[in-house]
Amino acid sequence: MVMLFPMMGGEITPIVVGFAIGFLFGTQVYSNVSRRTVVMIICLCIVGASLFQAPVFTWSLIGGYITDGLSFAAPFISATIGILLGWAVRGGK
Amino acid sequence: MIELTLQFLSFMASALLILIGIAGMLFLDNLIKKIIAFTLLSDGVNLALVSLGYFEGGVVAILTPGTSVAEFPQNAVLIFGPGIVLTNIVIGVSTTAVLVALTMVLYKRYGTLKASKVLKGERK
Amino acid sequence: MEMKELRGSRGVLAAVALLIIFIGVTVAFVQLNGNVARGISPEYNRLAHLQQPNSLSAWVYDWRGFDTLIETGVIYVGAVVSVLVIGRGLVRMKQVEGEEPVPQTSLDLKIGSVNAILKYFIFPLVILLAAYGILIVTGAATSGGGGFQCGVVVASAYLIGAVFFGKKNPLNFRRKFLIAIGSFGWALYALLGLPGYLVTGYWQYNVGTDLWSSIAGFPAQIPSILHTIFGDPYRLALVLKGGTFYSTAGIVPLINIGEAFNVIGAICLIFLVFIYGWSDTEEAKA
Repeated sequence: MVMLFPMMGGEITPIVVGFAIGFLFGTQVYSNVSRRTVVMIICLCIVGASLFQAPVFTWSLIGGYITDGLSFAAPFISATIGILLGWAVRGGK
Repeated sequence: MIELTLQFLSFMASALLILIGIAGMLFLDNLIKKIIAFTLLSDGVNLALVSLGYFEGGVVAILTPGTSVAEFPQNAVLIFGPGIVLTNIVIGVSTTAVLVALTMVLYKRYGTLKASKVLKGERK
Repeated sequence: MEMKELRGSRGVLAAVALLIIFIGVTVAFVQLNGNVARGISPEYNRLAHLQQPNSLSAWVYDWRGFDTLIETGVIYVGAVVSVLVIGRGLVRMKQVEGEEPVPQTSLDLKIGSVNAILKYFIFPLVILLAAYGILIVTGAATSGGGGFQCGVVVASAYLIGAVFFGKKNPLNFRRKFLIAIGSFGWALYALLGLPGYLVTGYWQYNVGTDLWSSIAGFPAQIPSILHTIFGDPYRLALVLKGGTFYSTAGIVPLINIGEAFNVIGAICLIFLVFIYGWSDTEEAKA
């Protein structure tokens, strides 16, 4: 059963915190890789998020829960995006 | 007569690890081997702590959706062993790091890893 | 002790001493087998549905929170000591002032057999491992994770980058950054006890979860604003067989984040000083 509301604070906060910590670590990334590698990281991240499944007791769509057996680890995706964004903003080559 | 349960067997394994660790730390000459023996000793202690919490038919002490609230406390394993092991591992890492760093300095100064030669104080 | 010294009577004495130690340890374990006192563990398992599903994390940061705080300090001190021992550039003790410091040569790891394909895949692996560490620390309250585990995973990502790329580590943590997040994590852990102390008098009382204030004899009522600040961000709906519980982990996830920062700082500092060495001239150049 897909449920967008009501969602609890415990489903949103890990995503925000994951993005923030990822951004912090992303500012320390120094590498000169091609754009294709970045696309590959994002694809691998989505595959990995579906393998890890949503965190337990997550029931909303934003938290990553779709149905039993198909769910995404939303903090993992947001952390990866945070690292990539931090790298783009403050990191270097 | 002692029953050969899983807990008893892992206690015996940890006793063996502790013995090997003590023997290695006392009787081996090489400093790196001494450090390896130290980590074996600490692993033995960790294994003993983890096996403290074990009992027959226990489940992991983490709630999952649909768990019965009334039955969970009886079924869940004891959490103090893993809790102490968690910090023991990290402290083991830091002490091993300090030991290895000291060994590096000793090697650079004496040119050997043998404890007997280091104790005699021969400079390179 | 060399092996040839162990021949003869010394060897017999050593064997007897080891045998006595082994018998002592074994007897202790045989007496313990099956007779372990359950202690506080069942209480925390009983409270798991009111606080957080991972009762191990609750036990580590709630019941023995002080212990863990001091142990967090121990690992940080361990990291700082190994930095001081290897790169004796920062502190010169008086006795060794005359001696030359240990020569600094950073171990530049060169792995010849790494081919291009492997090197091409290592950068995504490092990034995804770091993200996985962050996933572990954000899900600490509900699944088997926590600050220590996150720190170790991120440190392993750093180590993989160092092994495969040498000095051009993609996860290039600077020394000042590592020292900063290590001390920030420790400070966060310690200061999160302040709200509980100000309200109830107990340092590190979990003001978000607030399990005990309904019990008679508890010193104070927790203001509802503290419930909102520390409790609501981590509130979850636990659907169990006994009903649905809207419980929250309170300050434990925040403590986990502080712990994770501290462990990342400490272990990466250890790896950094072992791999690259520590001299002030290189830092000035960079």
